[in-house]
This record gives sequence, C-alpha cells and structure tokens, in this order.
Amino acid sequence: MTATATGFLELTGVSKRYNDTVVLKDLDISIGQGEFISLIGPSGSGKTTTLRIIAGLEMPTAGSIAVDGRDITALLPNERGFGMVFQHFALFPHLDVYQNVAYGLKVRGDSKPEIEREVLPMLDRIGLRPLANRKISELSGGQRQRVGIARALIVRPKLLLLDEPTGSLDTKLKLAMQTELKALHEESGLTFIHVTHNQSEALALANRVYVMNDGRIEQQGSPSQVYRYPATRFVADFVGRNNLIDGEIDGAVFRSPLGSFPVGGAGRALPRGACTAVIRADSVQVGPAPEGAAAIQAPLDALEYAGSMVTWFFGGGVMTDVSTDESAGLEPKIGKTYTVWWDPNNVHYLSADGTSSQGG
Amino acid sequence: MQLSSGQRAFRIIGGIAFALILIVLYAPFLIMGMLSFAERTTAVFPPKDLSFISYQKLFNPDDFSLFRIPGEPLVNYLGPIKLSLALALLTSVLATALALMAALAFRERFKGRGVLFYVMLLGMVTPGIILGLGFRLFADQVALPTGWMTTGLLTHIAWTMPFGFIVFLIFLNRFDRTIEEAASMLGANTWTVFRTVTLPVLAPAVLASLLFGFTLSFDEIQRSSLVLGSDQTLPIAVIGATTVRITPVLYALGSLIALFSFVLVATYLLFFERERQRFYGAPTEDADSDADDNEPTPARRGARA
Repeated sequence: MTATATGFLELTGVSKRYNDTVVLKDLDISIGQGEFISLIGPSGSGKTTTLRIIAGLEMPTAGSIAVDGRDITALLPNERGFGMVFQHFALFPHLDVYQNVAYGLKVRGDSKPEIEREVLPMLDRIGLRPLANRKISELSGGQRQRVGIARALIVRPKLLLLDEPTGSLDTKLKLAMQTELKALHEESGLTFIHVTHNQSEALALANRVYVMNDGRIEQQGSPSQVYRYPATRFVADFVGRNNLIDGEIDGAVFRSPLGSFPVGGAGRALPRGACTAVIRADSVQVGPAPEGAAAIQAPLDALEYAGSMVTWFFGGGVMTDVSTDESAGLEPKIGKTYTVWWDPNNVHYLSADGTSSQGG
Repeated sequence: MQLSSGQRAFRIIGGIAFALILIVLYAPFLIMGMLSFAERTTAVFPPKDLSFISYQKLFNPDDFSLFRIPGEPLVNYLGPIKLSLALALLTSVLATALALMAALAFRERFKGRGVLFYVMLLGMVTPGIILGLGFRLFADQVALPTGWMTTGLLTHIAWTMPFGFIVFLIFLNRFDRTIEEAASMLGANTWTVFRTVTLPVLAPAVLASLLFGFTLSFDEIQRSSLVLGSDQTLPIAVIGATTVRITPVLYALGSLIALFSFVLVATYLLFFERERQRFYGAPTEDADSDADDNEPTPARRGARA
C-alpha cells in the first residue's frame, strides 16, 4: 500500500498558542486520499492538538486547513464531515449499542427504516449485533472501541481520525484492534489519521509517519525510512531502540570515546566532523567479532527481560537486544567483560547540526 | 459470619443508637398524625374522640358549620397551599434552568471565574432575614410592587439557585466532555448536542435540582416574610395560625405534607437508583471492566433484530 499522492488534506503553517504556551509551531502536513497516517511523539509533543485541530475541536492560532483544495479552517466539527475515534471511547452512556451507532444517522434526519438498514449490517460487521440492546456499561473495553469505530464509520466520513484508539486496551486486545484497524482501512479505502505515543503501533499500521516533538515535525516518511534513517537525534531516540554514540568522522574512521571504528559503506555520503552514530540495538551482537566488524570489549552492567527479548546493557552505554533463547545459551554474568560488535555498514550517522546521511 | 463478642456488643450498641435516632426522627410525625384525628383538643394524648373532622375543616374552610369549638380560629389554608405550590414550582423550574446554565458556563475558564464562584454561593450563606430585608429595600428603590409573582419569586430563585448550581457542578465534575465532542463529530450542532447528549446525561441532576428548589421554596419563611406584600405562603399562614391557637386542623395539614414528602422522596430514590443502574451498570456487575474482552453478563433484553 503506497498511497503517496498528497493534497487531499493540507495543513499550512498551522500554529497553536494557549496564552504564552506555544503548542504547535508552523506545521505543514500534506496527506493523500486513502493514506494511513500516524502522528507519533511523546506526550506534550502536540500530536493530539494537531488531530483536534484537524477535527475542528480546536482552532489554530494561525495557519489554514484545506480538504480537496477547500479551506475548512473556520468550519465547526459538525460541518466538516470527519469521523473520530476516541481513546476513552466517548460512547453515549444513556444510549444502548444500537442507538450509539445510529446517533449520526439520527442527527442527520434519516428515517427509522433507513437507520436500521445501515446500522444492522454495521453491527454484523463488528460482531456486536447480538449485543444491540446492551447498555454501554455492560460492554468490555474491546467491544466499546468497536462501537466507537462503528459509530464513526456509519456516517461515511471523508476521513477517520483516531486518537490513541488502543490506548485504553490491554496488550493482547491492542494487537487485535491493530489488526482490525488495518483491515478496516483496506476495506473502506478511507484516509486514516492516527495519533499514538506507541511507535510500534505507528510503524505497524501507517504507510506514512509524522514524528512530532515540542510542537514541530521532526521527520516524516515511510515507517522503514523513519525507523532505519532517523533524521534527528530525537527521532533516533524515540523511534526504535538505538544506541547513540557521539564522536567524529575522520576520513574513513569514526572516533568516539568507545574507540575508533571503520565508517563502513564505501561510497555513501557521510557527514563531516562531529556526529552521532546510530546503531540499532538489534544489530549489535555479542561474541567473537568477524573480520571488518566494529568491536569493543565491555563489561555487562545489567539485564532487562522483556518476554521474547533480553536487553543487555554494557558499560560505555551500549545495549543490545538478544532473543531469550540465545541469551540463556550465552549464560550472561553481570560484571563479566564481553566482546560486542556490529557491522559498520548498518550504522547511520547524524551530523551534529541535525542533518543526516542517507546511507546503508 | 463469625463475630467476636466485642463486635457483637458494638453491633448491639449501634443498633440501639440507630433505633433511638429513628424514634427521635419519626415520633413527631406519628404523634402529629394521631393528633390530627382528635376532634376537639390537642391537649390530650392519645386523643380520645377520633374523627376526620380536622381534615374536613382543612378542605372546606368556608363551611362554618364544621367549626363548632368555641373561639376556634377560621384559618383558610387552601389559598396559601395553592400559592406556595405555584411559587415552589415556578421557583424550582426557573432556578434549575439558571443553575444549569451557570454550571455549564463554569466548565469554561474565564476571567473572574474564581470570584464569581463565591458570588454565586453568597445567597446560601447570607442570613435569610438580611437577604429578605435587602430584597425589600431594593424593591422599594426600584418601585417594584411586592407580591409572590414579583419580589417573592425573585427572592426564592436567589435563595434556591445556588443549591441547584452545586448539584450540577458535582455532576459535571465527572461528566466526560468528549461525549459532546463525539456528538459534534457526528454532525450534531451545539443545540442538538445539548438536547440529545448533555441534558439526558444530566437528567438525575436536573431532577435533584428541581427537588431542591421545590422543597427549599415550599418551606421558606425568613426571606418570604418581608417580600410577599399581602400574599400569604403556607409557612407564613401556619406561623400566623400558631400565634392564635393551635387546633387539630394544623396537624391534619402537617400530616398530609409529611405523607406527600415521604412519597416524593421514595419516588426520587427509586428513580435515582434506576438512573444509576442505567449509567453505571447493575450493582453486582463490574462496571469498570475496561480491560477485559470476556463475554460480560448475558443481555437482559434480546437483540433488536
């Protein structure tokens, strides 16, 4: 899925200030019809504000929003025709499942039979038809979010905004909901704009990702671009699990407090002088280093278990993700010195002024 | 359940205390109820000559043949009852509407919000007689004729509105505003959002505010005593009657009002419990089961289709 044609939804120079606090700084976002966009960033980065401005729930202090070339900046949320799915579901507590899904059609003035013709297949689609007359308080979290999605989709919105749609669900449900969202996107052909602080969810769902920090867009691109070639130190730190090693490039050698290593990747464009090497935690290996590898000797400081992976933290600030089975085979001992190595061709360099090389 | 002897003693003492409190609370109603059936005098308890004559007098104040006790005052409670009911109904509806609007406004941040909050509640803490006096002086200054529809209504709204305001603030405190945003995203304009989402969800608060307004207005006397002009509300008529001579007619009136109040409170409790279950689930259910996708309790009603 590579819907890259932009121009369906355009945010131009959008800024947002609350009194003296600047929340968004001169944002430009361009989204094509049918794209699945993720806005990711830490809390306070402005991603939710951006989504709410697109929804019309907040007014930008400056800038404009256009859909299909038509300026909608001044339109109220009910005049925009967008759908929205909320983190805490925001279902109507005084209505049952059927009435919740039917709300948008009822407000529009559809007749009872018309509403029934739309709502019943939708309830079938989300598997909640047997629960049509349930109160919202009788539903589980996953069921509530499916009602929330059905309620938004039934009015056939121009695009669907999703504000942390899996944020209130537990891990297992989260993954099921992600699969469901992906299927819904492909089925409906709608444009999805999705906000999350969960980078793995964004990388799994979106065809394009905007990484936000401090009210700005740090980087936008396909998940693999952002993951493999972070444009800034912030992105390298926020997306994926990376070792960041400060040093400088001197010819074909990267010098750092950890040692000097070949830069690798003959012929690629590299920054000059002070820069940061970005080495993905899963590309760092423990054990005898092969010819041409960048290797260090480092003591094991700590181990962190996370299900299928164990992270080894070494002195000097290098970490590596090792599969649990492999880790058990290596019999790790805290304090013991290991040989740690990586392929220099897999290293991505960020220059100190924030620009990055596109290599590898 | 196994109880230690200390726990058992504690339970017995608690039970006795509770029974005493119930007696203190409800004995007056029982005694008043019994005395209301006394034919001639309230000086003997329990009453000897039982009859419904006091109730007849209450509802037929113009039938002088009923009033046969020498020196018995001919008090007509019917007019004041009607006036008090009308005033209490008007007050509760208008005060509730104003309180709701004020409470909704207080969801927003605006300049002077903190100060205005205390100004709103000033009417609750000002001594009633002072407020009544102030209203009377104000009415004189602006040449507003005193009467129940003018100064009376204004005073009662000023008195009861803060209570409704507090009720709405409490309910709005846990009102999730994203449901209003969800409604507007589905095409509802501001008025439709209010009509189809905000108001229905706040229905229990509206009812509570109406009840507050009604009861506070219905038995209000301090503020009313100075602002009603020649109109007489029920409490003022009762005070007036007690200064002459207390007859069983007053007890008949009191018993009926008490009975009416009990029915009202019981109705409200039933309604409130039903609403609570509607929003938060039946008490036995885990209403907070956000994070499990297990099949919850079986549907109470069948599916629509």
